[in-house]
Amino acid sequence: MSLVVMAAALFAAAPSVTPSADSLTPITIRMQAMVGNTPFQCGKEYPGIGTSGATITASDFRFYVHNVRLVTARGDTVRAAMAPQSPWQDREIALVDFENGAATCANGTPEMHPEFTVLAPAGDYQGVAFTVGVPFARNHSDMATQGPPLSLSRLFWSWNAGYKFLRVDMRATRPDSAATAWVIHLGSTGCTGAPGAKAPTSCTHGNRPEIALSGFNPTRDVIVADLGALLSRSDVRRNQPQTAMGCMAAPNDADCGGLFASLGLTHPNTTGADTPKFFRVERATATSSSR
Amino acid sequence: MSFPRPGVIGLTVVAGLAIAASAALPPDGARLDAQPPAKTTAKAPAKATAASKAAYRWQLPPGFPEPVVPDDNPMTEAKVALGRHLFYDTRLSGNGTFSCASCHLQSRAFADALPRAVGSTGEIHPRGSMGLANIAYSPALTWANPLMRSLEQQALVPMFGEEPVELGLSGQEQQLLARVRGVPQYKALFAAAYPGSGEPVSLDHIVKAIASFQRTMISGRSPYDAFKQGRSAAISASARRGEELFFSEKTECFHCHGGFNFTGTVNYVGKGFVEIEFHNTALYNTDGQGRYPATNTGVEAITHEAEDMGKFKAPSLRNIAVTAPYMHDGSIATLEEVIEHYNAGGRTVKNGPNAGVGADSPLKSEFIKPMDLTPQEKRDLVAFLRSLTDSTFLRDPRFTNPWRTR
Repeated sequence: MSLVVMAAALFAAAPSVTPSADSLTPITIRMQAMVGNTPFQCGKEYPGIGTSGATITASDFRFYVHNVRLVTARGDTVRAAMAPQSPWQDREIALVDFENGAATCANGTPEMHPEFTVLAPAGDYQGVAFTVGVPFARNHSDMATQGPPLSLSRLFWSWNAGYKFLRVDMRATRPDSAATAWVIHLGSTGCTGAPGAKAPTSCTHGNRPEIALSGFNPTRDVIVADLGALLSRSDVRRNQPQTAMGCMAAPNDADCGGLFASLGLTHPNTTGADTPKFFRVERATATSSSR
Repeated sequence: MSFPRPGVIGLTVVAGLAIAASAALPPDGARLDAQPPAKTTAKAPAKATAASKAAYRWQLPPGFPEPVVPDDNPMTEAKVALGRHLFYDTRLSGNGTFSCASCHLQSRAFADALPRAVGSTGEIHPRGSMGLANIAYSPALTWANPLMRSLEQQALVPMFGEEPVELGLSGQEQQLLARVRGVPQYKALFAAAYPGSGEPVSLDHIVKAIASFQRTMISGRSPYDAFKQGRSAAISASARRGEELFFSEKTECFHCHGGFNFTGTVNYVGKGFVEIEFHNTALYNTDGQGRYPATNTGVEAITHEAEDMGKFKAPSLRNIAVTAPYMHDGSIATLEEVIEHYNAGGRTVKNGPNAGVGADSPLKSEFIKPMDLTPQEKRDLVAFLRSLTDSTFLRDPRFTNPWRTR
């Protein structure tokens, strides 16, 4: 039952037939990490980043995805289950991994996964929507007993009893001193649990970006995750004093404001224009050679 | 046998009822003599599986209740033995220099002597290492994190945490498992701890073994305990006066440091209610509104709730004399100065970025108030606190480094 199409709208005019798993087909959503118009690579320097035009070198770039929906040419939304594909995906969650465990990313994994695959009825899809992060019901599980893709210590936010939904680590060169670390660790904060509860029962700041991209044809297009756009409103050469380096999703950390804006999340310090956004759609051919 | 006096709450031993004592130990603020009589009937095994195995034999001090153990990590001698080896093994750090014991020294009741802990890469932790004595009774772990509910879960923080780096294993779990598998002694230790397991060396098994060892670190044989068991000469007259002061309305110490473990955050088998408490003790008031320094805002850092500013867990006071310096950030050097802080109803920081009058904090606990203690009363309180040092615990051979004896 977890694989069925659930969007009522799709079947509103059709007989109430639940498609069997056999009728679902794997559909791969391809992703491409970019920094502006340049493909992303661990260890590579990217100039002109953010409001101060800093040069950055990244050392991690990964995020979780769940709750995938495809939009048909008719405009109907079709809920798509994640296709189990160990170690990258289970039935609900996929890890998108742009780092290769090399150069500055040595603490990562050599394996990469710049895509995720869902199971949905074959069709002519023109849009995609997904949620970045780990769903609440599984976000606060015991990492030591989790299978992949939740078994990675780099993505477990131990002191916050949950996962880092999006992790981008980098160093930014400064004209006046050595490079400084600036990291993005996005996850749920403000979590509380009842005294007897083993895990949090609620979080005031879920921090799961809801992404909806139109004009996306899975067979033709790729979703670009653009670090340049993500950081466009931020000064990665500066860190608000007495807060985490960069942004660890704290509501009182002004360094998060610009990032949250490009992810479509609310934050007290949201600054800058509504665009650009972290994710955009491009024709696959334009970037297919850049992995 | 001594009997509780009015206003005196604390450890009262019911001889011969060590196991059933969990029912006899009242929560903070309750009068022991107001409790129903302790049940003497033997408890049924909690689980059918427990009955089939030899039950773990806690060697509990008189009057101590049985610790709560997670259903999925029952105590066994083999797991404790394995956990002891892991606790003292520097292979559990990214650069091979640190083990759990590097910051948790037996001679310091498994705290250390630094104001703030220093991790394997030299990074300074915002807070000090907490003592581990009687940690099995704590339903919330670390200084100010209401989300840390089990030792198994908490072990992942020092192992894999990155803000700050402690053991520095983030992203190195496979290397860690490979290192552990390469040690001949571990083959038998893991096999005994996890019989029938196809792959005994796993992260889950490592943290469960460490947690099992930590649960054995029980301390309850201090001079004060002997005093409460009837040896009236076990502590000085000054310490006896200090005890009365500690449990009095004049000082209110016991509200946050009550019960057999001298902390309000406590749980044990049969307790019925899990108690987790965090208090603002008026150490800081940097803005007149009760604000603490941004790097250490206590529970507020986790919940983002304004009323949680500056709230920290009251640590157990057992062995407190050997865990200086004090408070979450090591900002008070001696017990005498701690008493001065509380006697003033809050600390005044005269200058610098943290300047402010703690006593004026609107967020401070209602029990933090000027005490007007005489010099003798202060000395008596310190004498009482010093009577809580369990020197047998500090050198108990069950807790020493097992690698040294090989």
